[in-house]
Amino acid sequence: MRRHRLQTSEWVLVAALVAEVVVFTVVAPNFFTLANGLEVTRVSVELGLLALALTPILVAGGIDLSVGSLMGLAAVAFGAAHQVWHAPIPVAMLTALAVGIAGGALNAFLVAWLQVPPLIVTLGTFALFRGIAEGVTQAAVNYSGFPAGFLALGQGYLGGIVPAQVPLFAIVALAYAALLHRSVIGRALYAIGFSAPGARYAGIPVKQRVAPIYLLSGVMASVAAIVYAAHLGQARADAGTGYELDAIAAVVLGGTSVFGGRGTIGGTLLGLFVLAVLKNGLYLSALSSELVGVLTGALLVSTIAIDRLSNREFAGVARATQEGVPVRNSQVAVLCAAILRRLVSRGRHQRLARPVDHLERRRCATRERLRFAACRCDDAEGQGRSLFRQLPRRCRGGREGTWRRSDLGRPHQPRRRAAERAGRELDYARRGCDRGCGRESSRHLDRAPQGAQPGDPRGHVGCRRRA
Amino acid sequence: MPRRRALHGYRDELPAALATIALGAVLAIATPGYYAPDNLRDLLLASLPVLVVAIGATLVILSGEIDVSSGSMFAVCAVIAGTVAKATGSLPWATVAATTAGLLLGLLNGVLVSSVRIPSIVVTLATMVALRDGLRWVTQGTWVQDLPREFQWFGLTQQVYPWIAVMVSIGLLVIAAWALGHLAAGRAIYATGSNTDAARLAGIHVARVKCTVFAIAGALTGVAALLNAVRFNQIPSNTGLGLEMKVIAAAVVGGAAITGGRGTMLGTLLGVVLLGAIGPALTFLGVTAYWERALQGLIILAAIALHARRDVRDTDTPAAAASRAVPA
Repeated sequence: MRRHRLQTSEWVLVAALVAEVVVFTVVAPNFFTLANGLEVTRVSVELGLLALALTPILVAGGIDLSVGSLMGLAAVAFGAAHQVWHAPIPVAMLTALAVGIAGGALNAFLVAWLQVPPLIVTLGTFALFRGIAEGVTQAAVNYSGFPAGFLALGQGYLGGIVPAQVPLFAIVALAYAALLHRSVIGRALYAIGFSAPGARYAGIPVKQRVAPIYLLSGVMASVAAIVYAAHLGQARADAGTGYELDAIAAVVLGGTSVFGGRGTIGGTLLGLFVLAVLKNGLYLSALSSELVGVLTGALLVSTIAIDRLSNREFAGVARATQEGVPVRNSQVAVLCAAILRRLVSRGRHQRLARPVDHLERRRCATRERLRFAACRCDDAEGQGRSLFRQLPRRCRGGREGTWRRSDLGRPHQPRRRAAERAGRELDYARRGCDRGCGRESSRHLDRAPQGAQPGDPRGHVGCRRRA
Repeated sequence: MPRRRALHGYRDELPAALATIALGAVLAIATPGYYAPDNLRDLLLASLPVLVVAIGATLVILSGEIDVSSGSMFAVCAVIAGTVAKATGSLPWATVAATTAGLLLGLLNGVLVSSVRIPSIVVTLATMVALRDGLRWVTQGTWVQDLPREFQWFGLTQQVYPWIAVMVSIGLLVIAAWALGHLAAGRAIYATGSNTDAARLAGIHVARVKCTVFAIAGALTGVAALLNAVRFNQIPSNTGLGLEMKVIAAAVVGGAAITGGRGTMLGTLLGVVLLGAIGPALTFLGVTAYWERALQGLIILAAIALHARRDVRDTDTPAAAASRAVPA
């Protein structure tokens, strides 16, 4: 079901792309030529680099609004290094990369370590990076006059046909596809996007997985800035203005959910080309370029609306849970009994979980379900533990939206199984340190303290505080 | 919010208040010219429209959503107001037109968010781009000029108008603050923002709350567009660029949580004052105004860093801590 749905949303895009090509071929005589096709790829490289960087971030449930501003700052750093300090081009490139890494690291630090919502962090850095670029150049200096060898990187052709920056873009796209779809890190990002607490309880080091993708986004912004400088032959503080929104539009158009847990690099590329062809075609057919924004917005909303509405079952279930299930007195009594029982005998969360089990089982393939399951016990003391644990075991589908426990990092499994066999898992895996040291370590997830007996005061692994 | 100790209930707003006071003190010592009546009046008239938009933005943020289309809506409403004023020559009609246009555009956002259930950042991103470019397309970039004489300053004198504008803006702020604290509808916004599922289980019609909040924000944007437009005798079609970021920043600096359910109108007022005062202050202190954006960014980052520590103190449950790591 899931795979089918993804294809639906991508088919919509393919159809849109084909429709665009047909319409513009009829309207604009110069549109359907090889040269123009390659030109479209050339102008979409800078935006494409940012869109690629944003895909894993959105998959992990984050967002980065600062990429366009960081691109401007990196362009200024590049230009200043070359023109003001007379550094050779490679050194100037390294300067731009360093700026990108520093900016990405600032985002990564605030998002992953200070745990501030990425939307507002990157809104702040969005203003900061552009502000520094404007302040340094007084928003007026325009660095140009780069050597011809460097400009060939952005204006030349490889083998006479292929624009020089396209191979670079292809390599980056392949690398990102490998990262997201072929690596443990990629799987972890999907799990984090589904439900960060769930991923954490499954033993995924959330911070260590989230931080690098923000750092990489900074690197990509500076690479985009270098390509931009080579392409246009100038580096200014306003480089990349508005690119962040275009990039997000491309990514979301490609089927990536802004809530995380869903999205592919292929979809992003498709979304990118739909936008690029639209822009290029409107330009060539002498229609007013202002239409681009209107059409982009309409395309964005309608694609997502079609995607949402086309999956009836999913929509129906969402509505059912949204509007609430009528609860009878007897059910309330059963729930109360379950809650009381749980309060009396701590640790057996499954009792409380059972009444909603049938719902979960039926709907276990969508990420809303997993998230629902993960937050279900939030109100009570349980913090959503048991339900989330149970779910993946039943959801062995191997489909895009479903992940098996074995997907979530193998190293944790054997130890976890051993703990389960020992019957201590519930006691140890889910609690913070009970000795009052205030530490709340993910290492609890793996094993009980050495030599501990059920019922002992629980300390985290390596806790130095006396019981 | 009962006050047990002085300022106890205003912990979130305190940093913004202290920063504003500090800025005021520095300016008073370094450049007393900043407090010249003319400068203050200009500052006030420029900040009031931002404040009115920020009221709406705060409501949206409190309900757990976000609206990045307010800048584009602002421009559309301003141009509509100007066009209607030119066509009918009547100010009341221009007011009605601007407010209705804002209301309808806000309603469009609200319906797409609450009924079609598309995430608000996507919806408002789409309307932001579509409205801005749509306006450029319709006007072809021309400004609305040759406005009727009585359009500027609402037909009042330049001395009377500021008082009217202040009364309207502060009146809206006070009404919003009172409603948030004392009306069931206001409490429903907080409930929806702090935990949507819990609010729904408590019998709150969450979709209706979100839709209404977007509509109110739109209408307020219309009012603000008019308050801004009457300051000049022409209306540029690119007005309100970057306004959305400014108002969201003001709300966050004022202590509102971007995840919803937390924040006050007082905080937003302080945020608007702080961010609005800092730009002209730079010029007075002899720094070029090009550093304004960087400084605003720094203020936002400082505010969120402060609030991050606050949130860690407030909630120490593991699930909450983990969900903060990558919130939806």
